[in-house]
Amino acid sequence: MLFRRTDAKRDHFERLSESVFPSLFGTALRLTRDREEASDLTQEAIIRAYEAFDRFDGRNFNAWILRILTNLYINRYRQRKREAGKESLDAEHAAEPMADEGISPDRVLLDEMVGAEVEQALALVPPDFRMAVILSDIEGLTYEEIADATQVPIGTVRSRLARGRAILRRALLQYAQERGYIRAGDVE
Amino acid sequence: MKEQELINDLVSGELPPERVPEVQAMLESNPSLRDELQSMQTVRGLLAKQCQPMPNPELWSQCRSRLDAIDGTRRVEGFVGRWQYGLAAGLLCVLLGVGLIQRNGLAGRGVSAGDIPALMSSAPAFGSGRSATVAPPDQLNLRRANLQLLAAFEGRHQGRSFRLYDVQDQLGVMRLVEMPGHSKIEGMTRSFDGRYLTGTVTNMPCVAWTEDDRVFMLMGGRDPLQLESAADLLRQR
Repeated sequence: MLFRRTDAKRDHFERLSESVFPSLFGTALRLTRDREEASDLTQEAIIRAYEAFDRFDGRNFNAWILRILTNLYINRYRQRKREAGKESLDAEHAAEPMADEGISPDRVLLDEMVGAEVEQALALVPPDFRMAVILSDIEGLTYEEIADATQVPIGTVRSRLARGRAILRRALLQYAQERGYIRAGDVE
Repeated sequence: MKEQELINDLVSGELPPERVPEVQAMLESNPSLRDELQSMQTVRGLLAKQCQPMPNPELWSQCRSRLDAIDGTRRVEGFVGRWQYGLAAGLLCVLLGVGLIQRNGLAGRGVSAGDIPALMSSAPAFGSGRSATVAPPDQLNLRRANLQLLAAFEGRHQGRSFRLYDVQDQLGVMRLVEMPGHSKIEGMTRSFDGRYLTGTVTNMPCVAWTEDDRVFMLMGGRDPLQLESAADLLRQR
């Protein structure tokens, strides 16, 4: 009886986890920008999720496990910050313009970009902003879910998301310019 | 700042319905805000299109192995947790059983060379010449060994039965101890050829062997090799 219950739980967890695993690893890789660290983070998130699976409310597994992964990432990040004692990870200090005034619509220009270029541009966004952008625009989490995952108020999520998108857009346009998709004057 | 956050809310699909008319009015009156909206939608669309999930079957396999390890540990913990009282009772029974066995002298049914002096102290003195009242065992051939039975004694010591035989050949008197129901001898050293165990009992050389679920010990004031020769003759049928 005990074994059957454990096996059923394991099967259920594996089915859910396997379906979100590529997304989970992708998020870990985009957050850490290091394959080994991402693998470690993903494994840890899976283990933690399995151990806490009894507390899963049965609604959105992807959001639930992403919250675990994000929490782990933030905790490691904070720990590393304490150890390093110098690198500021507070995204609020990463001052970037909200948007370039007078910038032209860039849909056509950016459509030329490929995945690797987008990933590289995303990597340039400061960590807290990047986290908000990844969870919202790639993983499709709501503000509330992002606030829950990153342990900040919804107002901070809105602000980080707006800033993160603006920084990302800027980085994308810079990449497009460097790759010759657009000329320097096109975006000014 | 406020306007741009509202635009982002709209792009994210998080703009409250009651604020939609307000944002629409802002967009109609402000062309740069419309460009901002279009840019944000483009960025969002680009991320959704280009940043795909990243399959990693090898890592998934590693995760499954770790889950297996967790399940294994949980099963053991669950079993122990469920049967803890049973296991404790079982262990207690085993301990009690071992204690009882040791107390009753049944553990391994072994004889220690150190037990023999105490055992002999309850018997008549060595070579006292008491007449034989107990027949020697079938396993031993006194006649072939040219041994004369001088005396025999049967008794019990600490719950163990034993027999003593004083026998004599041309070299002198020897004492033979027989302990039925035992199959192990402790506290003695195996002889060179491995056929006997040798040692000293009450300052006399002694050779011992087991046969038909009984222990024999032959001791006397002579060389151990001579004792072994006498034992060889005794054991020939």
